[in-house]
Amino acid sequence: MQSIWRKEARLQSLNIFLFFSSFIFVSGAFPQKDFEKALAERRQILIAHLVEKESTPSFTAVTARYAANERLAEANRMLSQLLQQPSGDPVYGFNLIATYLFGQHNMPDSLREKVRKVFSANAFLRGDSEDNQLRYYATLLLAAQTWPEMPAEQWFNGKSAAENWREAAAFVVAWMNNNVTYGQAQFDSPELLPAFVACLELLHEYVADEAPFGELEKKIVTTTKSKVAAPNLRTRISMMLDLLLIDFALEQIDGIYAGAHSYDTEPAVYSPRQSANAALFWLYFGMGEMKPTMEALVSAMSGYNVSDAVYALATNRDPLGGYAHRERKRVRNQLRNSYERTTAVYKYAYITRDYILGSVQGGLLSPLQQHTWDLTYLSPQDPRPALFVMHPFFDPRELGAFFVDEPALLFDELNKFKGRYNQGDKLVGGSPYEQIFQHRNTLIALYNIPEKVQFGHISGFFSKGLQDWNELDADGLSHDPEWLFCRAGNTFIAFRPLQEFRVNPMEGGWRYISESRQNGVILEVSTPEESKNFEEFKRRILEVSKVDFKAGDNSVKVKYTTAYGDRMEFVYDGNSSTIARLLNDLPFKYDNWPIFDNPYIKYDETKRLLQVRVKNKWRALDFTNWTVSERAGSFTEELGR
Amino acid sequence: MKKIFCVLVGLFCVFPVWTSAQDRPVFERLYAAVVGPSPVTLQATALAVGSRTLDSGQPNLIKTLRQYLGRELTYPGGLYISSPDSATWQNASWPNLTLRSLTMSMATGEPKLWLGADNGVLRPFNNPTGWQLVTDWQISSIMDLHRDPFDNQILFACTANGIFISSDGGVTWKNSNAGLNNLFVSCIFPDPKVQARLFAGTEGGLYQSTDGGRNWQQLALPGIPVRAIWREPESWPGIFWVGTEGHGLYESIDGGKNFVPVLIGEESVSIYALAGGGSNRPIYAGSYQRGIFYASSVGQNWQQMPGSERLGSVTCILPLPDRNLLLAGTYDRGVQLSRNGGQTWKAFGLVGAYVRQLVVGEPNWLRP
Repeated sequence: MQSIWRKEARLQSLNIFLFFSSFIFVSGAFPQKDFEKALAERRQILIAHLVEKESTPSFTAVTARYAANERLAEANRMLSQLLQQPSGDPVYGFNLIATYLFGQHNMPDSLREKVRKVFSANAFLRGDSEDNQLRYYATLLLAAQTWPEMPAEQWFNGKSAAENWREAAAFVVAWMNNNVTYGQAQFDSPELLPAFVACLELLHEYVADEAPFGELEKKIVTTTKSKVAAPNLRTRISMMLDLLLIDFALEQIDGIYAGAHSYDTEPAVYSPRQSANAALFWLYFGMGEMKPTMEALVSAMSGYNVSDAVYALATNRDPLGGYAHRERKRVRNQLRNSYERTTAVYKYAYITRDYILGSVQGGLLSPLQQHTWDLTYLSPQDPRPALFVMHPFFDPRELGAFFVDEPALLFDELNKFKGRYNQGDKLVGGSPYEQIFQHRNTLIALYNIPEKVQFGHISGFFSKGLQDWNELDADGLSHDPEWLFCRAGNTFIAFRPLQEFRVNPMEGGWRYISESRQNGVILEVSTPEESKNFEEFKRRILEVSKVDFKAGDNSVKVKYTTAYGDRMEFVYDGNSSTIARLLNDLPFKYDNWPIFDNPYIKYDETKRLLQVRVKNKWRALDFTNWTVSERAGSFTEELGR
Repeated sequence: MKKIFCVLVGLFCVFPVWTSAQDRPVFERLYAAVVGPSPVTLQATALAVGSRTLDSGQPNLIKTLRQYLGRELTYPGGLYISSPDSATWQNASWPNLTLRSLTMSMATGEPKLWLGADNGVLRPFNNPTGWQLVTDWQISSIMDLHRDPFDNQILFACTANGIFISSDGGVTWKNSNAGLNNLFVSCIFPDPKVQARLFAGTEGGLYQSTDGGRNWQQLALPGIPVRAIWREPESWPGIFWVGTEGHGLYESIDGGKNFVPVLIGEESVSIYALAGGGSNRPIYAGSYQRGIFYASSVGQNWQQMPGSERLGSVTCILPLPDRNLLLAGTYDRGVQLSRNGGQTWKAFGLVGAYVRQLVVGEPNWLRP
């Protein structure tokens, strides 16, 4: 890792020249990376593992065998088996086209023809989620490009190869444009990130920059709606990959995607090392454990490499204390209960080397599997380094907001559902009755749950790996609200329930439960760099911080003075649906919230220009002209100039 | 003795025929739009089984869903066609298609079937799957699909993201939402008596267009989710009914100018389907969990059809008065058939399916 900046000295001299050359962008200013060698080794490890260990027929097993040029007869047999019962699911389609593209040189003609026929006789469905739609259109685009002569009469959907290519390219372009203009809707998901990355990497590997269907199609790709030309598709895809991986690199700690997510699962929400994104972190950054998934294999097989800047962001976090990080994302289209279809999601994170405290503003932003806030801390021995509280919410409003069927019918069906979604002890999901106020290392979560709402309690998770609890008594009995202190490595945690609570043991930790419908918690976190030691941190919390909590008349209000003197005032009034946040007596507003902003990265929305700076290394992604440039800048030069 | 023997033989010959005639509907083909498991059900099930996504094509999907839903579920979504004279149904569309609506047009002089599905609009086509998707990525979640009663080239599709109209027999589609303040459009209803007049039921009330869907004006029920629109076929200037989610039934007796609530069951009843009327025949309303309500053809004396509660939520109704049959599509009890005006009901296949539309059709509708 340290070798990234091996040629730093040479670059520093170059910097002087560049700085005085009016910031001339120099492509290829970064050195070739030694970590590419390590990456190639990990790719081989993954492929070898899949060849040796994966004996059940799967696209992963087949692709690995073709890639390794080993056990080809076995791969052919497995693929024949997989082709016998084709599925309309976008996952099947994506895995099939990936296997075909990576392995076709090792496939007999008969199998290649069988694969082609799947795209003729098997009806693929698009699905309703962003990840499935990207899978579907990536598949369609690459299949159309693979069999450009296939007429409409031979395609499953009755469209010609050219029509399919054009439609798929238009979708991909529109999806990317949306993401760089409004932020992604299925954002920052530890479970789905590898799927988005794999789709883009397969496209990056194989997509033609221009439609291969004659002169007319070669000129431009147009979207039906905007008629905007979209040449250089491969470059655009590469830039989108950069964006996703920059996003991940910024908000991960020890390979764990920290803070709020649009989509998480149980148990990964409290066992985050199990999340699918761990596969990417291992592959690209060499940390954590290998996960032999199809997405990881596609990433391993693709020629895309993370840039120096992304690598540095992920592995070389600034040692100088913490910093605030802001992002804007997009709510998944709310079909009902809202007139605004692209309501923004305001992400906030406080990032240190030892922990990340991250959140969104609260409310119902994504269906079923939203994760609104958490503290993720560096604790390599702890399998569950996460702490969070949530309101288990389930009612027709959520169903009607995100799904088209009649909400009452869906509610009836899911009310009888024998799974976790409708249960009060679930640990994933957003709530319209949860609001968050975060300022740097302090987070306040307020809950104002009406009587008519099914589950009136809030629920949370503490890992058993947390140390030095001094007030926690996991006896299942009710306790008065008081400060709870604990520590994880260099992360000092002060957790303040605002109502009576109890703590019960659960898998790998403790479940926090508080029954009051007007409720809340305060979390303040610190490190030795800020608080010397744990005892000093506790002292400051107990002696300096002040908590003034009021609940009643359908309103919840807290005034909190942090251990370092910041005053946070937070009001959640259920009568008027008013939510007020005051920081040091001034309104805390989400106006002009940037798509990305922290000391390493700035996003200029008017230019759609993303600039990343790590030390003196600059990388600029221009999403208006769809160009990338790199340069070495001055150490004193600031982002955003 | 011979006479007695002949009578007995006659009885034995006639009786089975009579019995089967009792069981046998008098239509050649019945077409059913079946919605299939909702994405939220699939997502919740995936969450329950611990996978990131549930493969809608996996062989044991229905079994898995049945396990978690705790109800009988046999059919995934799609277009189902009944065999002549029986309650045996065959899937005739893409497997696992979420299908909410179908319509027939004579666009090329031949009957042509159109499907309104989650994936878009489909029509029969000469390819291995038998269907062509005629819309692109921008059109999804079709809630309702109709042809223009005055022009076979015009098709109206309403979706969770607005209204789309094709004026060239489904070749190209344009969105047409001018004036709509709410883009979630559950149903669209071309007035069969007035050319270019359309009604659209949105999540925020009832809208009307008098120029073939180019422009829309709010007509009534602001803020109320509309689920079904119907016109008494023979009245003039027209009696209209509008079914809502959670706000009961509304009626207009002045050609759709003014709508007033109608006393039908509880005030908060949801009405999902409307059908019938004409020649003094009853009007029917399918409801959420309350079965079927009915009234005279001009909407007088609404009452619940006794015994229809056992149908649960009724999502479409097909009266066939000439054949003395009444069919109901339900949310989770498939197709139900009554031969006595709704006094008794018998299951007519598609067990456990969410049936959103029923149409009597012809075999050649599937011809490309």
